[in-house]
Amino acid sequence: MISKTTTSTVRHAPEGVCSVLISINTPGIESPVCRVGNSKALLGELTVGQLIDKVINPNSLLSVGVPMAQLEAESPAAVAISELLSTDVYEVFLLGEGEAEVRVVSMEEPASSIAQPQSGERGNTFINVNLEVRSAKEVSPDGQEKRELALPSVVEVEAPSETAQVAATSEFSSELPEMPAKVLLAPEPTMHVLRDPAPVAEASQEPAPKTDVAKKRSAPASSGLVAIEAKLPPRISHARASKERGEYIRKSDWLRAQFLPEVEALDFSGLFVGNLGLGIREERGRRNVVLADPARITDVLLRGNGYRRSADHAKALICYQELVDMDSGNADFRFLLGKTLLELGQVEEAMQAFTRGKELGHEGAGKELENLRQAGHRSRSPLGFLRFWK
Amino acid sequence: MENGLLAGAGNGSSPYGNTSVIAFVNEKGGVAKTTSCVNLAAAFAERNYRVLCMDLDPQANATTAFGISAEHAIEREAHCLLTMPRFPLERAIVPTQIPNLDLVPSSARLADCDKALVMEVGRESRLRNKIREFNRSVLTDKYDFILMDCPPTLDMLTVNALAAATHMIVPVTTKFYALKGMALLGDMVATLHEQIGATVRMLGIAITMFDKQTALDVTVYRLLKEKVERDFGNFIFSTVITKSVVVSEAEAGGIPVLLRDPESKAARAYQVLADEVLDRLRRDVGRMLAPPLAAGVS
Repeated sequence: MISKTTTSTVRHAPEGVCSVLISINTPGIESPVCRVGNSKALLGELTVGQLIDKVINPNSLLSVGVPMAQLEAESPAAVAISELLSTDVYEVFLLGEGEAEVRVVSMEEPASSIAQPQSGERGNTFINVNLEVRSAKEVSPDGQEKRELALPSVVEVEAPSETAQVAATSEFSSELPEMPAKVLLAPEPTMHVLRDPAPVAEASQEPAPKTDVAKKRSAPASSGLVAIEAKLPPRISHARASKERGEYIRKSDWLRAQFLPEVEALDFSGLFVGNLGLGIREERGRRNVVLADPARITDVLLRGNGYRRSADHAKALICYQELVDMDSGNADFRFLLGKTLLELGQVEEAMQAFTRGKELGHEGAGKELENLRQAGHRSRSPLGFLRFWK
Repeated sequence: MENGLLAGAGNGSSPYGNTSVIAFVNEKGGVAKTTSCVNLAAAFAERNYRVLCMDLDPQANATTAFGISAEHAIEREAHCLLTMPRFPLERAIVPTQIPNLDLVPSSARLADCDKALVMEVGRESRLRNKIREFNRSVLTDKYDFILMDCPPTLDMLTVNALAAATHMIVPVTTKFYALKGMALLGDMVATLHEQIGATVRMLGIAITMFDKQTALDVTVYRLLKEKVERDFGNFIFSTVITKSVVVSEAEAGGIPVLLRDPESKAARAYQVLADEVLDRLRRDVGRMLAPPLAAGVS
C-alpha cells in the first residue's frame, strides 16, 4: 500500500537577506521619505547622519529604482528635512511601533544600532528604521546671548567736567535690558547718561549693596570717566528666533528680514550724481520709502507655509501675494507664489511668477518654468497657436 | 599697442584727452581696493594699454604689490606730487617689472598730506592739475589709464583722487559696514560735484571677497543688487571676485596674482572683470559730454 504524505514547504529567505524599510519624516509633512532594501548591508558602516543624507538625496544610490512619482511626492519632506539639518536647531527621534517615541539619536551613531529587527510568522527577518527630524524645542542660548541677558551694556566716555561721578549703582544693578518676546528687528538704540548722583543718593540714605558688576562699573570714577548705560539694540540669534516662533525660520529669510530695512535705509544716491545728475539726491529724499516690517514678513511667510502644508492653497496664495507686495525683489516669494498658483491650476499666472523668480536668480523657478514648457505650456503670446501646429 | 580707449568716442570727451582716470575708492578698509587696482592695472597692461598706477594710500600696499621697495619712494612719490606745487607728475613715475605699467609710489609720509595742504589754495584739485599738465605736455608719453588706489579714509588724498578721476570703481564686500562706507562715500562725491565741480562718474560697484557658501554674503549681495538696480540702474559688475588665499600669497610675493598664478580662479575673475570694465568704459565715454573742467576750479 502506498501511503500518501503531504509535505508543506516553508520558504525562508537566504542567509543575510531581509526586508529593510527606512522611513524618515518631519512634523507637518504628510508623506515621509521611504526607502526599501533587501539586505542589512544597506545600512553598512553608515552613521545616522549619513543614512539620512542618502535617504533624502534624490540622486543617491538608495533612490535608484524609486518611481519618479514617489520621489516627487516625497520632495516636500526631503526639502524640509534638509533645511532643518542645515541648522543646529534640530533633533532626530527614533520612533517605535505605532510612532511611539523611543529616544533621541545622535547623528554620529551607527545606523545599524538604530535598526529595529522584527521576525515574521514564518521566520523571515524585517528591519525597520523609523526616524523623525524635528526642530529642537529647547534651544539654549549661546554664550554671547547669556552675557547679553546677564549684563547691561555700558559704554564709558570721558567726563565733561571733573565733578562728574558715577551714579548710584542701584539703578545699574536692577535695570537689565528687557528682551522683547518676538522681535526680529531691533528698536532704535536709546542711551541715557547717569550723571547726577545726588538725587539718587538723597533718595536712599543707605547706599544700595553693590554687586560685583556694579563695583566694576564704578571703578573708573577716579579716572574721570562717566559710565553711560546704553540700551543697545538686542540682537537675537537665528536659533533663538526660531525657538521663540516655535517653528523653524529659514536662515536666508531671517537674514533678509534682518538686513532689508538697514540696507534700504542707506542712501547711495551721492555715488551716482555724476551719471544721473544732482537731481537724483533730491529725488531720493522725496521718495517715500515704505519699509516692510520684517516681523510681519516672517509672520506672513510662516502662515503661508502652514496653509500650503495643509493644502489650503487659496489662503496660501493670499499670503504669498502679500509677501510679493511687501518685498517685490525676493525670488523665493515669487517661487512660492508660482508653486501655489500651479497647485491651484493657474498655469499662466504661475509661469509669470516663475519667470520673474528666474530673472531674480531663483534656480528652482527656472526649472519649474522649463518643466512647464516641456509639458507643452506656453505663455499667451500672439503666436501661441503655433504650438498646436507644431 | 592700441590707441587710447576713448579714441573711438571722439577726442575731448575726457578732461585728459584719451586718458581714463579711474579711482578705486571706498571709505571702508579691507574691501580689496588695492588688490582690485593692482590686478586691473596688470590686466590692462597685459592688453597692451599703457597704464599708470598711482598709490595714494600711506600704507603703500600697492607699491609693495609691484615689488617696489620703500627706498624707491623717497624722492619719487605721491607725497611730493601733492605737496610740491612745481613737482611734475613725470618725476614721480617709476617703472615696474610689468611691461606697459608704471607706478607713482607711496610711503608713510603721505599721511602728512592733510597737514601740508591745509593752507594751500586749490588743494582739492592739485592732483587733477598735475595730470592735466602731464597730458598737455608734448614731451611725455601719455597713458591710456591712470588707476588710483585710494586710502580707506575720506581725507584730502581721497578728495584729490575723486576730483581728478573721470570714473570711479567702488570695491565692496558683502558686509554691512562696507555698505555703510559706500553710503558715506556717496555723500562726499555729491559734495565734490556741488562744491568743486568734480565730474567723476560711477563705473561700477565690484563685489569682492565674496563667499557664496555664506548665507549672509548671499543675502547682502542680493539686497544690494536689488536696491542699486531698482534705484539707479545696472551699476554692479556681474563679475564677482570670490575670497581666495591665492591673492594673499601673491601680495606677499610682491607681484599681482594675475602674473603669479594666472590660472587661478581669482586671476581669471580679474581678467573677466577687466573686460567688463573696458566694455562699460567704452559705452560710458560716448555719453560723457559734460565740459571737462567746471568753472571756478583752480
